[in-house]
Amino acid sequence: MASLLEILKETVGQEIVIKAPDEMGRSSLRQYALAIGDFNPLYSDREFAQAHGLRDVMAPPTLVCDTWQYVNSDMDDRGDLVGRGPIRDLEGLRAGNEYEFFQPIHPDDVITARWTVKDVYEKTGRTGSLIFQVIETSFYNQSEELLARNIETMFYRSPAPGEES
Amino acid sequence: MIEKARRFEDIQIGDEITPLVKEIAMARMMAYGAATWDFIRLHYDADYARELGFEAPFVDGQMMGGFLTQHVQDWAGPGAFLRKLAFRNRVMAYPGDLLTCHGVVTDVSSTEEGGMVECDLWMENQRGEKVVDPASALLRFPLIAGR
Repeated sequence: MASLLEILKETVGQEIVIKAPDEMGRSSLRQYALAIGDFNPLYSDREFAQAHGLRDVMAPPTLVCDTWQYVNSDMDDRGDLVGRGPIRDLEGLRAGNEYEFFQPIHPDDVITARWTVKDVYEKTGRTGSLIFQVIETSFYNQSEELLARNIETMFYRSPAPGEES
Repeated sequence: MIEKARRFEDIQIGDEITPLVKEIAMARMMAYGAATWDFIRLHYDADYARELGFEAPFVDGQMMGGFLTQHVQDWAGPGAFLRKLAFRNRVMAYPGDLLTCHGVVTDVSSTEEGGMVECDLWMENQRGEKVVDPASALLRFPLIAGR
């Protein structure tokens, strides 16, 4: 039976590309801002945004990196949207993120996300062994312009419940 | 509350980023899940979270990125563009926690892209534990024309 480390190692180099079925939308921006409690008018007031050099309101920068709205599918028993391939099929916890933003994202942008697993490695510390998985996701709009990049590091305890599956 | 536009020319290394306090409530955690189409039960279903060995539903680690963005964008004002943000999650955050975002300017430089300002950031809970540490942001400010 393959170990969790072996299962995760097999994800290295895998890429999934998901194109949103529709635009980001205005209310998505406001909904995210509400969840954060961030009422910056750049996200909701077109005239204010235009007065600051934007063509329209912009999305809160981290929205595109954390939303799954571009995945058009049902959810599983864990509440996880299905259809994202093997990349995020296991329970992992977040070690951290590195975001880079190249240009503002607007309500009429249709997002394409490209996910790639860059690395999987194991580290042994005083509390036992952890497996780290580094995933890079790049986000593009309908004109294939690079909007943002997210390098996220997830970790898994070894052995973990996922090892038995 | 968003502050008015800050001038790049007025920013110096060592300047403090105005602290931002965020109170964690379950309703906001649920709102975040809904807003990101992330319905993972670990972030709102107490029984499910305990079954998996967690003391309670915990805050989605990426929500910290939203808080840190608000922290630096409020300080920088609407003319600045967040170019980079990085953070490490250290301690889980739970409903009822009071998180304070802190930061300090570590570098200031004029480039062809604009006025670039780097900051070190971190986030503490009400017990003084570092919830996010280290973290950093890079902001781009417009340069005054002709300078």
